[in-house]
Amino acid sequence: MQPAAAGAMSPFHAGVFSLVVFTVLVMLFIASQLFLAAWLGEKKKSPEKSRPYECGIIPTGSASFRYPVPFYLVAIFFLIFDVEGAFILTWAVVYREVGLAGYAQMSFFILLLLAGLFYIWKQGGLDWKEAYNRADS
Amino acid sequence: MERGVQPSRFLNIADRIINWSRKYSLWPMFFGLSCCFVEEAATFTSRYDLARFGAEVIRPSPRQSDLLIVSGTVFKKIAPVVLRLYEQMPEPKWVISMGSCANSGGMFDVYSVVQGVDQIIPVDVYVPGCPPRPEALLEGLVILQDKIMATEKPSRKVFHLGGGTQGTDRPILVNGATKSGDPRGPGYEGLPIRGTSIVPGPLHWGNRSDLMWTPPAHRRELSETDQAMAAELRERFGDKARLEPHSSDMPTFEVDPGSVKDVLRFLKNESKYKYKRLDDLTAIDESARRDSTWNGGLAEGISEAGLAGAFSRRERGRYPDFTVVYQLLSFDTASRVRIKSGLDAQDRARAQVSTASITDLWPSANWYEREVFDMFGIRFEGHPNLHRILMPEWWEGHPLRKDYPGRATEMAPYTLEDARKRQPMDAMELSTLDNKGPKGDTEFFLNIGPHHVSTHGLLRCIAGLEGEEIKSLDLEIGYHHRASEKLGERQSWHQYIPYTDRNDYLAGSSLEFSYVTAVETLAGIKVPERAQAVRVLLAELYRLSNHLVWMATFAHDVGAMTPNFYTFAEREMILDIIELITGGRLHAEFLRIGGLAADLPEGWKKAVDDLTAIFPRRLWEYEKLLRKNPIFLQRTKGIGRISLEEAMDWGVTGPNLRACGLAWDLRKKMPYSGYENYDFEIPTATEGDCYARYLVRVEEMRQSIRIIEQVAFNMPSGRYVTDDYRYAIPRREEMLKDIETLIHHFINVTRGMKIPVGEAYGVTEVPRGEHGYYVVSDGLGSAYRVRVRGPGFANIQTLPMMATGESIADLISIIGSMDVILPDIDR
Amino acid sequence: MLLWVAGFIILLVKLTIVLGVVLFLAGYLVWVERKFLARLQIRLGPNRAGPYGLLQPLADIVKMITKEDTVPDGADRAFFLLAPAVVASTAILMFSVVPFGNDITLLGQRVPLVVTDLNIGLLFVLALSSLSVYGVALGGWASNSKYGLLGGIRGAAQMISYELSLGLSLIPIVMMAHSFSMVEIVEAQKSYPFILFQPVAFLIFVVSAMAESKRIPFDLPEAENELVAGYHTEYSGMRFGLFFLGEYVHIMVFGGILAVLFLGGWRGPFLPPVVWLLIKIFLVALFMIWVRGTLPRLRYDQLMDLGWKVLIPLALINILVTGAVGLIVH
Repeated sequence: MQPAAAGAMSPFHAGVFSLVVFTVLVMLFIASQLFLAAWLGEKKKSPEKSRPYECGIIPTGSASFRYPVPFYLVAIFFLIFDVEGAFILTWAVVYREVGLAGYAQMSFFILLLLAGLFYIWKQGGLDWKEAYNRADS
Repeated sequence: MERGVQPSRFLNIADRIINWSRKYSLWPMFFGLSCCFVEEAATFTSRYDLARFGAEVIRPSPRQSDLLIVSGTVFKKIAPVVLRLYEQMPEPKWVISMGSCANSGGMFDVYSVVQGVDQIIPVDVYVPGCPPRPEALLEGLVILQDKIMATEKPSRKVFHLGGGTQGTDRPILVNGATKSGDPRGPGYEGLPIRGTSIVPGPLHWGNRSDLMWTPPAHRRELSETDQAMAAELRERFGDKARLEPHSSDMPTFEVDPGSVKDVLRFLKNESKYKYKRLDDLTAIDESARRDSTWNGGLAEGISEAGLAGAFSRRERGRYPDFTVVYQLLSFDTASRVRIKSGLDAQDRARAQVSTASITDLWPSANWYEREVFDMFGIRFEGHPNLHRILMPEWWEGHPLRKDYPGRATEMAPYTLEDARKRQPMDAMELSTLDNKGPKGDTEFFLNIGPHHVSTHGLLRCIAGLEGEEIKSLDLEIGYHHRASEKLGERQSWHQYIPYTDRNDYLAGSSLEFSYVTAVETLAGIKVPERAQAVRVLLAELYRLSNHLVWMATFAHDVGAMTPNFYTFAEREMILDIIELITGGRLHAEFLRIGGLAADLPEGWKKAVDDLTAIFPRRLWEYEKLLRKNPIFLQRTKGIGRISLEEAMDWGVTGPNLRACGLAWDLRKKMPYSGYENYDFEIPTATEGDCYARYLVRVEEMRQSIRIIEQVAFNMPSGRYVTDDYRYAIPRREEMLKDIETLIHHFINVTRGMKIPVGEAYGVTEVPRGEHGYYVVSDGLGSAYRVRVRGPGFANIQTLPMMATGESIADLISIIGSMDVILPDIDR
Repeated sequence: MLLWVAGFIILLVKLTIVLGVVLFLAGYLVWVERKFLARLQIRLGPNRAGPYGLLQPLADIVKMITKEDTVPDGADRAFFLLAPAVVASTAILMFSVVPFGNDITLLGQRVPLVVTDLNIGLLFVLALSSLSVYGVALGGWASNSKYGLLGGIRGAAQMISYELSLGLSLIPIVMMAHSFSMVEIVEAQKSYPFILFQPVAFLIFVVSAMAESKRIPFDLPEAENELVAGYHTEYSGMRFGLFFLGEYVHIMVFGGILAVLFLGGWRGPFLPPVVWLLIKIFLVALFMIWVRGTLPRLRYDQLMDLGWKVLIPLALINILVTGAVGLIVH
């Protein structure tokens, strides 16, 4: 391999440089579409046209609400499980190297995770429909 | 080469590319107003396949649509919504006006209908027909495509160069200035509209129908249970509830206004026969009655002198100002009873009329009483939320009063300004009105409809949401009010038949069936056996066709897109048979009083046999897509449950009632038209949920096929129309032979026949339940009052009860499973 | 230096071709879907715009680009205008780690047939797929429309839930391939595709990926029967087109990743590698269209139940089993 083509900036290497160039290309394409969308086409403003759609009726109140509890629950569960999933990922690449001991530890971790999931389940955290009613009372 | 030529050449090429692209990418908006939309939907299905033109990407949001197909009747109540949806579409946009109603109001020249959508939005292509066939819509689309290619120069607009044309460029028409307000076209302004002179009004005397003689109305002997019930009532209420000596259809009592509620309570709870269902509640404005006897006697001539100056109707004749009519049904004895109560107004303008509300006896009375209030101005004391229901809140006057103009052309034309000003009521306001004060702390009101994919028409649900859970649900109906009851008062007895089809555009002849049954009951007309059998054949064919559409839309509501295309294939087959027999598709208009319009054509048997041969297997195939699908089961089982007790109390009829476990089907319980001769079962289910309603309807299709097989096999021979030509339109061959028949033909076709004074209720089991017509005759060529009892009106009233506490997705499943259609709710 | 410039040109050409092919295929996937659905529904489908309707995607794109671009009042302009770009660009970028062939030699240099062979390729895919949640959630939220908002929230909840099972289902693949790199994962399937050893992971992945791409039976965020058009209710013209494009690119990318992880990537007898990859992508796409033509839609709570109560526990157990079997065999 010749020096000019070596390293992170090598165009022959499918590395970050290539990804950056691809990203730039994609961004250029998307930008061109956004630009064309914004530029082309006749613009005719009218009060009705810029009113948000709601089945042909003038909307009542604002389009925002207090997020019901279940949505927060989803977010929190996701955070917990996603972070813990990251631990499993790191183990997964090297699971043969860390051998039985690693597997035992990871099994314990995963079982703990499962137990946590079942606990939430049992507590009704995963009953999306009933969660509404509970939040109500 | 000159410099100036280049850009224009570039623009020309750009024009062609852009036009070509737009031509093949006309995405229509999912918006149907009435009957025409069914044909529009059929245009997407296999036989017609709108997709070939690249126009099948039907968008639910106006933002992504290019083409607004105004399919159906534009009502004054919905017009602001049509206008808003059109204006919310981005440029460029095109409009196809589909069907006579959208084009010009069509046959609905009535107070609630805009006489042509071109008065509020510009129209590119008009597709004529009532409804236009799918092929006609395809033609309309091709014309629009050609118009885009041939006339539009969009590139100057697209590149902001000034000038250029794209989208609809026609102006909005102004009634009286750029378009004629006269339904007959320009030039007839001096002549009164045909038919206006026969409409009974306060000053309408001397109708030529009086010159004709008919026997008095049919008299029905009371059955034993009826007599026993009458005795019970006499014992309990004495003179306060008087049995009318003669009636054509069911025992009828005249009850003093003060005692009505007690009588009704007695009949519902204490009577041995338990009249559990409030079948119907309506009123009659008696102010235009001629001075004839109260109970079905002959017209006695006219004594105007005695009338002048009399304050109350009752003083000058035997009629009160208004009659409120209650009709009850007993499930145990399969019998009905009618309670009439005359009300007199407290003032000359008849503004103050009131009676007691019975909402605490039957919850379903709520909407019925609101309707009577809306249409007649009668107040009900003790009603929790008495306000208009069909007409918009800003409406003036009460349309079913005799002094109210019936025709839109008699009123001021509907203009763009009206459409801007007369907005549908605010969701919060309406919810507060219906619930008597805010309920809970719901702050998020979502309008689901009137323009929504899954409300099956112009139904507006106002959901108070918390997340996706429905905390409160209010319905607003009346967006599809086509004034069919008012129309009955001005069309001759026969001319009204086409309007009945349109009261439920998926059930066609089934509705004519109810109407002609009512008139035949009143006049005591015997229908030949062959005609009876053909009526049954058509009714069952329409039941199949309706249930196929229901199956498709229900599946679509829970997200399955394909059953639509499959079931419509068999539906087309059924419509072909119907077309072969009647000449129509959606609207057969084939039944006549006393029989049919024509005999069965050659080849009908083979067509029917072909259908019965393949149908059960096909149905099973389609069912496999749904019944064995775990997602479908999850979406329907246990959803939208209603108990049998509630269903009976709310007046739920049809498959929705049978899904609660009661084998109540008029075809079996009160057989008509020879249904007793056919071997079939009443399918029931017990759960009362969406899945139960699904099971019942699917099984009903199997039973219908059985009936069709039997009818076709045993088709009797003989006449297709009665020979009692006083009431019927004579057969042509006979008309050409003798002068008597010729005269009957002439009279019955032009002026229309006379039906004796009296009243009768005719009802049949249409696909959606019990659809009845209550006709009142004053001995003229048209009805004095036609009341349409649509099953949907009662059925949909239970929706808030079923859906509260469920999620939006469930609401959609429930609406789909109930098989609602708006014209029989709003009428 | 000259070699670098030549290499850069080759790289540009390669990447442009990749981008072009992805976009072209996504466009034609729309055509395939419309035709294939039509055949499923005993119809013909588009056939007027060009022979067999082959120019249909072109007509749609030109129409959408020249359509007015509307922004509702009260919308959060910046987010509203950019949300479609997030969805479309993350979908396209995901394709960058999909290898489409063995290295080839040009100018004496080995040119890898992959945009980028990141050693964390799999994580890159998961990260981008998480990012596209923003497009949906923000698009719906910024519209100032109630239907948009409901769709956006549904989308957010659904996508993050299935993100978990998607990630967890891939861990056994990582364990078998010893790497996050897509190129090495393909390399690891030299003798057999992973689907034979990981059918459970395959199923979980297919279901989760379908949920991620928001198609029936998981199209709750845009469920037209319930939420009109959900998060893109207020979008018109090409901005809607970008959401649309994003969805179809997503199907392609999903097909590509599925092929790489479970079906041996570009490997296959007789035909050139690229062709094999395209065939596999195409089959996956056909499968998704078929599913769309067949199934109804789940309800929100059922969707969440499936994700949390079935797929996640199953994926965790699958990891344990894979680990145990792997260690024993080893």
